[in-house]
Amino acid sequence: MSRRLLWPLAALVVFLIIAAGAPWLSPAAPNAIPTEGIIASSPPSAAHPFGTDPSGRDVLSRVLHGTRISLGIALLSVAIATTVGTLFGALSGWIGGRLDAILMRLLDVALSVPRVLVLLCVSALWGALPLPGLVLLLGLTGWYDVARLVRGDVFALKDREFVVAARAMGTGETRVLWRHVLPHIWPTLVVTATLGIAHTIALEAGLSFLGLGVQPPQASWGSILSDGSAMVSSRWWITLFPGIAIVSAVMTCNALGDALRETLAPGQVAA
Amino acid sequence: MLSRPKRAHSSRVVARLLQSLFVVWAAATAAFVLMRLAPGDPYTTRIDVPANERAQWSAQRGFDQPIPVQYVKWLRNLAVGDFGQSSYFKRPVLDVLRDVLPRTLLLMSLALTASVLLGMAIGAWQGTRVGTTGDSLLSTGSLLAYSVPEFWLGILLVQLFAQSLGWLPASGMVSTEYEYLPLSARIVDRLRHLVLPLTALTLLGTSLFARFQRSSMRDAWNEPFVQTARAKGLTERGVRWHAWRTALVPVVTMFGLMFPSLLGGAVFVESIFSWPGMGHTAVLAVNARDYNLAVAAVIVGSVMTVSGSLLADVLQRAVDPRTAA
Repeated sequence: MSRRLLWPLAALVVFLIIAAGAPWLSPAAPNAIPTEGIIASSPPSAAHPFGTDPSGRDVLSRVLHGTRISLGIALLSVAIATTVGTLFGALSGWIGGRLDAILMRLLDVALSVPRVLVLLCVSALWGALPLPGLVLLLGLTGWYDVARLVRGDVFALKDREFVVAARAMGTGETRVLWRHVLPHIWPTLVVTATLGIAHTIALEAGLSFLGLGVQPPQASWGSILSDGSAMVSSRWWITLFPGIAIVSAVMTCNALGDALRETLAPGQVAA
Repeated sequence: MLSRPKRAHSSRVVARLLQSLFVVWAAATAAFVLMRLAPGDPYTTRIDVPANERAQWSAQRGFDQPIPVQYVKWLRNLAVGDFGQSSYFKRPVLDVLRDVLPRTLLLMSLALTASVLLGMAIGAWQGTRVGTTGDSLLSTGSLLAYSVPEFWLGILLVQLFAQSLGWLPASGMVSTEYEYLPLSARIVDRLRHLVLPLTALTLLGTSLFARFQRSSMRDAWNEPFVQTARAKGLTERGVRWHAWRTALVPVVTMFGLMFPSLLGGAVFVESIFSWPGMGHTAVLAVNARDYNLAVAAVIVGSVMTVSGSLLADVLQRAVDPRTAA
């Protein structure tokens, strides 16, 4: 395995371990408020390496638990987006003709509105979305690129010899798609999904930062940042640490996506 | 013989324009439906208004009518540029747009120009030196810049340059004493307010263009025609120019396609820096359930995206002789 692939993969594993083991790794519960002494925001110390927020909650524990929420939202919504996008794209490319034309025009319309605006409108107008709603919203606004890429791949593959041969031998349509076409689309899917996760982590953080994503007191990287945004000057630790977490997670996924793109070389199937 | 391809070309342009118009209409309709489906109304956030007065307001604005009736009326108004009244700003949406849109366009066009120039320079430099230390460093740098969310970058910039160092203003477009300043000081004041939001947006754009230009330059650099050019005895500068011309095509296409992501970035950057543009206004609008203004924001976003992709087509034709019909 190339070194370019190894580093981001190792980092991703670390993030996943943190996400899975947050309750055991954290010194305190994410929403625990001290039962004695003064409730105040204190700078990083031995007891609280990332400091505490104005409610006296341990920022390190919140960031660790936030890993779970932020990564969970990103992974689940990208899974939804990839599934929907693959189905839509495969249908469009495989059947072709008029259906393809109609679906592609629909895709043009969907792509024409900046995603952030759609997210803003829905999350603000429906007010405080619960987590499943947020996952669904991010998933259902994130599949357009996948659909377009899959459609292109399927379109290029459907007249290839091995596909024609499989059909000539009497293999059913679904089976041809599943067993002969889909395996060639994997590289495209893996790369777009990895880059999609990076993008979704940043988007969720942005939305939560604006108060429209994950709702307090639930800890996600974005919502912790949002808690500290009004007091960056005096309480820098509340915004700094979740920010570093976001940047390193996004960078990990982007680096992994880049490395995967070079290793798997998607799009080559069309050649 | 000459007139025939020309006609084909112009009819293609017309078809493309009609298609764009359709896309904008469909996006606007979708936005309208979405807003009317949303629970609550523009008065949900106003607890100070008595119920009967609220009903009267709703009736005045036609909110009590069936949705299809509202839609036809809305579309007819929209066709003549009437977006309705903004419930938040208490004046016509069109007036609000006239104020805020140029501010966003200013920010975006400056950021785009800077990003393209910087990104292409960096990427082209890297593309001919793939694998060297300089290339790896720049690649890591652009990966980092590409991975930093705009809003966090904004917070860092404010913290560093406005709060700690005090060099630049943290928010807004002009200072409070702007009205009392002489002309030269006014210009300086405006420029000083531009620096931080522009830096945040430009860093994002530059990393995008650099990443793109690097890979296209690297691909062009390995093409046989580069060898040929060198064999012909072209100077290294000339060879580079040759390769760059080819590597330009995907980057130029990218230029137009970047509009939506830049507008998305503007939403966060404008919110952080309280830059009173389209993005900041959209956030205010949705939070205040200002339907008309929110729909207008979606329409503006869609128009920008569509014009971006039209521009991408035009630019591609301009730089790539193969696609120029």
